[in-house]
Amino acid sequence: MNNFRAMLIFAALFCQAPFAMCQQSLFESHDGDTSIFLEGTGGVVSTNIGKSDLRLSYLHEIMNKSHLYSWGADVSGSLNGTSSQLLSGVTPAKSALLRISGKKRNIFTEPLDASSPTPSPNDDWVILQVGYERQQIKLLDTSVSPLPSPTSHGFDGYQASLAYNALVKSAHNDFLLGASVGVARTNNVDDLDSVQVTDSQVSVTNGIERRASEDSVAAFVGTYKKFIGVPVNADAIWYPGAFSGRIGIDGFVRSQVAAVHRSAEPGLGVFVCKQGQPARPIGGATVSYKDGKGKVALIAGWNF
Amino acid sequence: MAVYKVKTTITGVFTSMDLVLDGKDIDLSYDGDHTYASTDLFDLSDKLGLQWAARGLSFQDYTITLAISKRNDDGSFAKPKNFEEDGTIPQGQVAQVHREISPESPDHE
Repeated sequence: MNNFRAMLIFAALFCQAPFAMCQQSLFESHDGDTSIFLEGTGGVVSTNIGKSDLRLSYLHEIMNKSHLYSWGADVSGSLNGTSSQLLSGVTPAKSALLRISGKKRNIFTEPLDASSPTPSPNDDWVILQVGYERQQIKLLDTSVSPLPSPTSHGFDGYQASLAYNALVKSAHNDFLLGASVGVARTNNVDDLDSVQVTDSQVSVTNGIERRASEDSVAAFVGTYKKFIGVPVNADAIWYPGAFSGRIGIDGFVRSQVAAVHRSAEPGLGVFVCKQGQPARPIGGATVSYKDGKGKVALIAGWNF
Repeated sequence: MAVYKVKTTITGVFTSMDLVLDGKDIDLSYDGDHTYASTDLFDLSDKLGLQWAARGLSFQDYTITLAISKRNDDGSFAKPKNFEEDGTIPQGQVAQVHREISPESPDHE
């Protein structure tokens, strides 16, 4: 009996974005970035279909005009198994992320006083966030023939960021504004293409080929890089009053300003929110542009 | 004068909130279920004064519930009577509720 291995690559290259994922906020772009951190959105399980991630978050907060500090934490990880396969078919990067955030309210605004006859509706706050991420990535070297099996690479990522958020209200429109700057040890897997590799085991008996088994694995192709990044993000979410808080339109920019990996990714997102809960999008879509390529991502969230 | 236990729960998503009951600043802690809560004791001779204000996105729904229990002579608390008010954060303004609540019949305010 002779065994030999055949490597088949099907499922042509697909961008991570269409099926490609954050934090206390559900307003996010395809890679999970956001500069908007809303209070009271702890206790949320959400998933970004693009990256097949699951997230649990916790918020410790006391609301009172004299308590201006609070903190939160969230843990997220890539889904494996059935859920992930239903959503995207493959998961070329498994990851787990822990983030801890501290918050201070009322930077340029006055603390809210219930006894005030005419309090201002505008509000602002800052978030300091630190995080650690562990990734397990499968890479496929397409420069050699025959194609080798994908190889696994571990990655330790660190991040720290400072974000400023503001709620600005007018008579008929609300605006959520955010800007953040940070430092992160990161990689470029969001920019790599992913493929599905099928490894077939074929046996030959008396000249007749029989397929003995078949395994599929997802892998990234392209030049894998690790680097220190300086992410700068900005969001401006507009809630037109005509939609009664059901629609939020997010203009955003995700950028890296470090000299070695400088990039800018402008985009636009539209989020649909539950009636009476404008801070809780039930889903949305974002379109962004980077390095000559457009990316589209779908985002869904469920509250419990 | 009588002692009342007041369990306050407020649901909604807010960016800032302030609650004063009977002239006392209340610390509302987030309980992980879109709800802020506090339990406090008050020595009341008449009505319970409530002053509440919250900032947040317009059209955000909110519900304020006060479960008010009178302390019995043996130190236990009677079955609570509820005051409840709901509403929506208005456009261009903060949400505000100012009430004087009768602890014996809070649902009639």
